[in-house]
Amino acid sequence: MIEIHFPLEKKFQGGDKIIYSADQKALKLNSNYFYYFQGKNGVGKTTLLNIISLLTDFEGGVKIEDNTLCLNKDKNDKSNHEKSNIRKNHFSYVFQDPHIINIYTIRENLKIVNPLFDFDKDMSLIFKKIDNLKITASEKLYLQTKLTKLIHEKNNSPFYLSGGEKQLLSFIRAMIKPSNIIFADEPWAAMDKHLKEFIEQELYQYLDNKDIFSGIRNRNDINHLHKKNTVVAIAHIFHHSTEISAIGNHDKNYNYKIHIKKINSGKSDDNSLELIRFSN
Amino acid sequence: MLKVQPDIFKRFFFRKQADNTSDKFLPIIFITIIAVSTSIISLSTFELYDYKIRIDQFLSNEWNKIYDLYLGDTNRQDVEKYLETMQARQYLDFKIGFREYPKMISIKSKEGYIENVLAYAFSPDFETIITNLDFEQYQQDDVLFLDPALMNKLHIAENDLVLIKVANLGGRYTQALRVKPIENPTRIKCFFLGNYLDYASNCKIRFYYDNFPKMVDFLSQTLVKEYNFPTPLNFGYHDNLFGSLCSNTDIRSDFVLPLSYFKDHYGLEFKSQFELTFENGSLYNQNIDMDSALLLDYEKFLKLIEQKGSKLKSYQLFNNSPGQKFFVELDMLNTFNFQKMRRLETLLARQESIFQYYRSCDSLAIISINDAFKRENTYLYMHYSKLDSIELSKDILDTLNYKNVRWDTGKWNSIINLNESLKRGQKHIMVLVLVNLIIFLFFLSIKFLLRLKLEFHTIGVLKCFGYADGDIYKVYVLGYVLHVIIGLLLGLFPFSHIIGVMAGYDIAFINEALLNTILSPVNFITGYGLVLLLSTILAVSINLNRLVKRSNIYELIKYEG
Repeated sequence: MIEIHFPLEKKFQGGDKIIYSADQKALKLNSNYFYYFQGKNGVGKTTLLNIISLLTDFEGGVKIEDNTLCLNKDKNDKSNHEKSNIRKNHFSYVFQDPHIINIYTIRENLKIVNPLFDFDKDMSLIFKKIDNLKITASEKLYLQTKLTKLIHEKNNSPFYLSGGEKQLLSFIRAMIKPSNIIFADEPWAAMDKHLKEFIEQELYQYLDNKDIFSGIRNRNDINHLHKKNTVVAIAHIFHHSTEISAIGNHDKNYNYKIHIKKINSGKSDDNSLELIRFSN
Repeated sequence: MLKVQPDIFKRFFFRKQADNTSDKFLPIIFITIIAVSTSIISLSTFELYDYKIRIDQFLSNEWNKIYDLYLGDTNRQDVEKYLETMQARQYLDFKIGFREYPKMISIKSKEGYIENVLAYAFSPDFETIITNLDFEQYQQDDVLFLDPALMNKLHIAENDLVLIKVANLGGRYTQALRVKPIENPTRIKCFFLGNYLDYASNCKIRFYYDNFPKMVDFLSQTLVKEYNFPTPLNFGYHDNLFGSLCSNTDIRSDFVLPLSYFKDHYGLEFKSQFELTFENGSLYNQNIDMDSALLLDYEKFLKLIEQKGSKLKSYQLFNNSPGQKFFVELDMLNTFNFQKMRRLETLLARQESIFQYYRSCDSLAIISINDAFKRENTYLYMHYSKLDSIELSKDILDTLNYKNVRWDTGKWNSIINLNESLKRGQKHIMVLVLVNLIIFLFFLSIKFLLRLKLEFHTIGVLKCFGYADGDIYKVYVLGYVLHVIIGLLLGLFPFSHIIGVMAGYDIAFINEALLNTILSPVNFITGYGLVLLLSTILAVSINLNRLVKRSNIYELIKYEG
């Protein structure tokens, strides 16, 4: 569970800042739901996601599970070490760009997020489980071909992998990491249809720990909450309302507007984004 | 606590490159720079160690602290007053030397000869300086101390006998001494512990034989018949003379003991009459006075032995079996110098030739009388042990020069220079350490600026996936510390060896210098290593703190590419 206490403020160098507020004092992202931060390009979706996923500093309050991260000056800030622990034990990330480390091998890129990850054994396992997914045969073949390449080049630098292969690697990295909350920043922005189908399906399965990576992820057993209180938070632009209905069980009662005030070079610009929720 | 993720640690050293090779070049260059820098420090310490050894060797030898001061044209009272003042302050002490020493002597061994050697004569006053010698024993044994290299040159073994004379005066050999090597290398090549070459000193050589006939044989056949040795020719038993072969004109019985003395002391009983029978006849004496010496008439003796093959056949001289230890004594001052012989070359050859019989006799003794020490204070020896004090040494040097005292200022200057070089070298090495350190810090900073920015993305991703700052610090600090340690170790071996050999030092010296430097409590290499390690830890921590420990992880991730 994540609780966002408004207002939230992010300051940039040069005095620019962005302030988030809502009609409600706090918004809750409850367990076992799929949340979308929906808004226009450049409105501040990524910044908000970075704030609540603790990837950037801010002023305001965000509560993760039982930990309150209050970053107002008059309240207690969590130490960097505690924030690292939360990222380590609870969070996982999929970025718009894969952000794979090129100076490590493919195997090492996965191993660093989960020390118990056994590349050969676990990648074979994932490969086999693809057969059981509810995707088309061509999509399965596509995935298995990409996976085969990753397996084959496990000791190489990911430098020469294609964008899709890097995205797949980035997704596998996020899914095998012990976590109960996934933050995904426009994960489909540079992704072909086959990969999008797979990732979308797996993220839904993640809410119930039924994704093909759950066994690997939960092997660490860091926190029993991982298995139950899962959340997926995604920054994403829906271009058509039909896209929303295509995703799945849209909870139409949960639809909040977050007001955004951007102060850029002294000029103020008001915008908003929507927070919508899906259940599995 | 120091546990690090092995993959991250490995990639700190060997970054994977696009062509799938690991980047070994960067760590090797970094380590090499540290190794070369360390070896440069080592090279400077070699130079210091070389100075130190030379100074230690010099100062460890007390004799190197002895300086001969010649007070020729100087106000000796003034000099002595100055030296006394310095002695009162315990800066130095001085001894008064023998007249005319050091002096040049010639040494003749069985197989070698050297015309001029500067010989020192040290009185027991020097016992406080030359502490490793037993003055009393060596004075009794009449020993000449010689430089081992000189011994080799003259083919002299320890305990060999040599003949000595004052050089360049056309004189005869006046002294025989047993040789011992000078154990510590010193500028002094030759010395003895007494005034053996004074005009009042005398030396007597005793050729010992195991029985009486052998002694008579040497006396008659060799000395009298072959060499026409001047009389009186004295002979004796054990340590004392009992008889003399002499002509009527040179009877000297004052130093010969009465025959009755030998009965009391050695149980040697003389007959009341004696007979020495040669092949050619007998030397017979009707009566012997036991209270006087046995005097053999030279003229009669010569007649008996002058014909060919006239050897001693029998003798009736003792009542009992006489035992061993009969000797003939040659007096270096009175008889061995063949005063009637004009031609010096023949004389010296004869002296040398007779002397060589010491090898065919059963034993030999040298008795020197050198108690007539005449010490005149024209010559002073200064003993100075504060050579490490450059200022004091310079002050004494200047003062004695000003007082017109002649002495070995070159030697004195060289030790001052050596000490100055040592201090200058220490200063140089400190500057070198500092310069090296600054260069290293600049290099480290450039490396950080270039590499850390390259690694912002990696660090950002690691932080994003839960690695704490501490985990990342550990990898970087430990990694750089390992680089530095490996660099330091390689700097000691083989870089120091290579650079040392290139500079002309041998491997044994390099090893010794390195070991000495590392083991000594304060040394530049360890100091440099520690400072390097400390500065590395500080530089890494400060730069990480400055560049990486930022709460905006997303910015770090954005550094990709």
